[in-house]
Amino acid sequence: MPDSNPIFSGSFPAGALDEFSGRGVRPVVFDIIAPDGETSILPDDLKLVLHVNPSNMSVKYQKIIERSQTKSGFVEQHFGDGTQTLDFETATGGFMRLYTGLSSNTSPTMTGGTRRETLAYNSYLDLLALFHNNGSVYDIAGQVALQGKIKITFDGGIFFGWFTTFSVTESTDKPYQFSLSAGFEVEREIQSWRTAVSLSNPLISPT
Amino acid sequence: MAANSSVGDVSAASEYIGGRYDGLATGPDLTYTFENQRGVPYDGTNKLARRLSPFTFRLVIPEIMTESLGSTAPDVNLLGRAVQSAQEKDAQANSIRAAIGVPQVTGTQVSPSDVLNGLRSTLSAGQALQTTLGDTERAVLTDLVTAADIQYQVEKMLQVPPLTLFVNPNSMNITHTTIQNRTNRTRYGYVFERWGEGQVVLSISGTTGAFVAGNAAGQALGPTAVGNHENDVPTGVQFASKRDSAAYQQLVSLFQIYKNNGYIYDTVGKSEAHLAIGAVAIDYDQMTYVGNIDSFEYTYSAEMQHRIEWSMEFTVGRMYDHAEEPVVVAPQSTPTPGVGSLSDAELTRMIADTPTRNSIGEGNPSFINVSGTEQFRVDQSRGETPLSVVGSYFLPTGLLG
Repeated sequence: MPDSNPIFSGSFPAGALDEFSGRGVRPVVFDIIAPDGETSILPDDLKLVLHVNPSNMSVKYQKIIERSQTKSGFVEQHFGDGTQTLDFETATGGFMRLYTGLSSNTSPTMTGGTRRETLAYNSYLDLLALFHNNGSVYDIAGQVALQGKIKITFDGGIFFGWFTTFSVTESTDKPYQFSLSAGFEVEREIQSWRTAVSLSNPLISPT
Repeated sequence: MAANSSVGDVSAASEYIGGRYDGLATGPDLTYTFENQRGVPYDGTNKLARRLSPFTFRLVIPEIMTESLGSTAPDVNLLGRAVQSAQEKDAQANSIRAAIGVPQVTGTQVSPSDVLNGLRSTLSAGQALQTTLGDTERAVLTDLVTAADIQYQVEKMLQVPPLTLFVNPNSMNITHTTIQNRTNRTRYGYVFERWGEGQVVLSISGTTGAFVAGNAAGQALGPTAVGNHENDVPTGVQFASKRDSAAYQQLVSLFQIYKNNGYIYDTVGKSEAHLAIGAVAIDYDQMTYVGNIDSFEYTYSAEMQHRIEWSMEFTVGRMYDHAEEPVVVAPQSTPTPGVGSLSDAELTRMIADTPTRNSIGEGNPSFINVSGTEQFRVDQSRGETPLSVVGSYFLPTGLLG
C-alpha cells in the first residue's frame, strides 16, 4: 500500500477509484479483458491509471459509403460503420526523484540514480507493457495463442479494442519527460449517458 | 400545441432532456443507456442567437416508405423542418404511417408513446417467439419481425424532434466539385471532358458550450462533511459536470443522429445489412441540405477541459433553397428612415421583419439593446446572478486532475 502521505504521487493516488473521490477528476482507466471477451484480467486495485491523464483524446467515427456516378445521378451504397479509433496524446509527467528533483540522468554509475527510478517513468513503462500485451495470451514460444481485448473506461464510456500504434518522443522542447502518442482501434463501445426525466424549471442563462 | 405552431416551436424544457433521442437505432457497435441525473443541466448559451440563426439537424425517413402513396406522397426531405406547421407535419406523418401500416397518431386519442409501445411489443413478441422455437434462421426482408423492426424505427424517426444546436458551428465549409478533366491530349490539343458536378460536401466543426450543471436549491451549498462523495452532484463549470450538463448531453444527441444517420438498422439480427436508407437533413440559412454524415469526431483536450470540439463531414444528396422574397439585396437605405425615404410597403416590410420584445424570449417581454442581444429578464435584478442559476460550488478541477 502506498504511504498515506506520499512525497510524490500521480494525479490519481486512489487509481480508478479517484473518479468517486469527490475531487471532480475522471481518470482514464485501462484494463485487459480475457479471450472470453468478458472477464477482466487485472484485479480491481490494479487497473492501469496513468501518472497523468492524456492531454488529448480524439474519438473518430466513420461510415462506409460508396458513391458512384450514373447517368441518372449518384448511387450511394451504405455499408454501415467503418473502423472507430481513439487517438491519444499524453506526457509521462516529470521524471522527479528524491533529493535530485527533475532528472534526466541515464547513467547509474555516475549519479547513483537515474530517471528510470521515477514514478513517471514507471507509469510510461506500464503503458508500454500494456501496448505489448494488447490482450494477447502468449505461448511458451512467444507466439500469440489466444486473443483478448483492452478495455478503456472514461467518464461513463467504455471502449473495447486494441492498440494499433505507440510512439515515444524525447525532445529538447520538453525536457524531463517523454511525449507519448497511441492509436487504438475500437471494436465495441458502451456508453452510459445521463438525462433529466423532466424539467419544469430548467436552468438557463438570463442572456 | 397552438393552432399556428410550427415544428420548430419546441418547449424550453424539452431541449434540455438529454434522453429525448433515446430509442434511436445506432448500429451494432454501440450500446447505450440513459440514467437519470439528479443535477439540473444548465444552458448558458444565448438563446436569442440560435433563434435568429438556428442550425438544425433532423432525421429523414427512407423515401421508399412513401412509394405506395404515389403522387400524393409528401417530400420526406422536408418533413419536420422547423418552419413547417405542426398540423401539416402531423398530417404528412400520418399519411406515411398509413402507408406502412402504423397506427395514426391523433393527439388526444392515440399518443405517440402509445404507438411506439405497441410497435415495440410487436417486435419483442416476435423475437420471443423466435427464441422459443429455437429458430435462428429467418428471412431478412420478408419476415414479420423485420417488418415490425422497420415500422418501429420509422415511427421513432417520425417522432424525434429536430436538434437545434445550442452553439452554432464555428466553421462550415461547403465544397462544390466538378467531375471533368482536360488531360487527354490529341494531335489537336487537349480534349475537355465533363460529366457534371460532384456531390456537395459540408465540413462542419463546432464546440459544445461549457460543461456546467446546477443543483436543487436546497442542496446548493454542496457537501458539508468529509466522507464518501460518490453520489454527490457536481455543479458549476468543471469537467465533473460533463455528463450532467446540457452542453454534453446535446453532443450526445448529435452523436446519436450521426450514428443513426437516417438508417433503418437490422436491430433484430444485429447485422450491418441495413433494411432501408434514409438521410439526415441540415436546415440553416434558409437552405436544407439532405444527405448523410460520413464521419464524426470529437476531442477531449487539456487545453479546453470544460468543453469538447467536434467535427463532421456531410455529403449532400439534395439541396433546397427556401429563401423568402426578396431574394435580391434591396437598395441601401438609412437605418433611421426619414419621411419619404422608404415607401409604405418597405416600412411595413421592415416592421414585420424586425424582432419585437414579444417575438423573442419565449414570448416573455425582454429588453433589447442596440446590438440585439437579449438582456436580463424583468424578474431578475441586474448586477447579480441568481443563486438558482449559479448552483452550488464551483470547483475548478479538470481532466488532468
